[in-house]
Amino acid sequence: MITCRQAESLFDAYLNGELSDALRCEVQAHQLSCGSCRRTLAILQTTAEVIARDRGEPGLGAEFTDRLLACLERRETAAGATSRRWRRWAIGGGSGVAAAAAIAVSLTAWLMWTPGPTPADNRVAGRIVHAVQLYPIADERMAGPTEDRATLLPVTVGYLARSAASAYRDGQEAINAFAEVGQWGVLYANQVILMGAAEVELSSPPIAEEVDLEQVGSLFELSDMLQTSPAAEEGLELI
Amino acid sequence: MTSIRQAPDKLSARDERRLIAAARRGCQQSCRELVEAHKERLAAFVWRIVRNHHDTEELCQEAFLRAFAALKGFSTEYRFSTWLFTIAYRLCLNHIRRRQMLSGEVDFSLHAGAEPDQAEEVVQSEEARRLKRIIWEAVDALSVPQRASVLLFYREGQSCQEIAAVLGMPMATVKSHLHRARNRLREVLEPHVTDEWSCLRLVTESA
Repeated sequence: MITCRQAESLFDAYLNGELSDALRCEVQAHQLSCGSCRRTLAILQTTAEVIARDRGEPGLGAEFTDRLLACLERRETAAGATSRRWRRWAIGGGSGVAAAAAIAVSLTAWLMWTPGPTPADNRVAGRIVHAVQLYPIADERMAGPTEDRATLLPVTVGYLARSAASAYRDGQEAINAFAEVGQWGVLYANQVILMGAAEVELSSPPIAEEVDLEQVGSLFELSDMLQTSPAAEEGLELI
Repeated sequence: MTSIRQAPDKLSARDERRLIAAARRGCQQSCRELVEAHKERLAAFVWRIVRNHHDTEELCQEAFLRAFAALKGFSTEYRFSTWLFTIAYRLCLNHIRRRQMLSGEVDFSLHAGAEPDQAEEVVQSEEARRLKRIIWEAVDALSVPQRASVLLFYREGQSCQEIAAVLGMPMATVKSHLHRARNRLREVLEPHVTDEWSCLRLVTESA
């Protein structure tokens, strides 16, 4: 017969369903004869029951799935447009630098969307650097009046890409921080650091060029922007 | 103990693989079925983490969008729900951090959610409601990893190994989170329980 101390040490494994049949029987037999342990297990089981079955959360709206699928279709359409443009440039339809920009952004987008890094991904990520331009990104909800956007610290796409590349070595969490940037915008470069993107030594200084941007909705929109911005002609470095 | 844990996936593994294969080919109906099979459970999990209905909808939408965007790279060796919850959890963490940076505090308001159904309240005993409220307040006060571990274990019926994959931490860390969460919940509930049998009966009768 096990002691109370021994039984208590087994409670977690018992609740996790990890005990052998023999030990499980020991715990069950012990609680039959020990009021204190019986009470403890009852409390834990009650808590588990409530957590498992009590459904007080608000549900999603009835239109959630329709909105989601509409948004998915828009993104896929945008991705298709970007892909077609990239293919056109790759076969000489545009400047080599602009094509390289598309490659850099597409590869970075690919990194962002791939579910998890493989060793091969990390090698590629470690080599991707693009210092295209500085541009202020303003989150519509945070920036306030339009004129305030000019005062926001610029965030370099290259910095973000390098952070993302480094973050791929450090974990998915930082990659999501980078993805957040593309999705909702970012206020300050420091925030990117705070959100978990690792700092990567810059191999070349970024080139500043303010881009008039209403809202960055996705990396694909960003990609479209890069193709049309004059700054895309300068300073692109693909390592 | 395992009988308490919930949420076998609505879809069988086979049906899920079929839907994923079709979704990869662009079948919107398959995407819809995948969403419908997971959205409420995902929303419940996300809401318990971020405690805001509007944010929950946004985060759930984003989690699904990212899951579908990367569907080609998804290995059907894993369950879609595990992957979806992994993405959602990351989004929740980023959301919480961003919220903390902007406001300087973490909002765990218990009022930012649905009110219990009025009819259900009538039939539940006062004692059971009180104990449930205490339990959920204690769950909300857990750290995010502890809370996520508890929710995934009991709500989603995930194993410690699956939880480790979702939360991106070693299995031993998950077990540590579960252990600490249980201890904390027990400490909170213990003073309110007169005897173990009434406690258990009252709550399970109204569950």
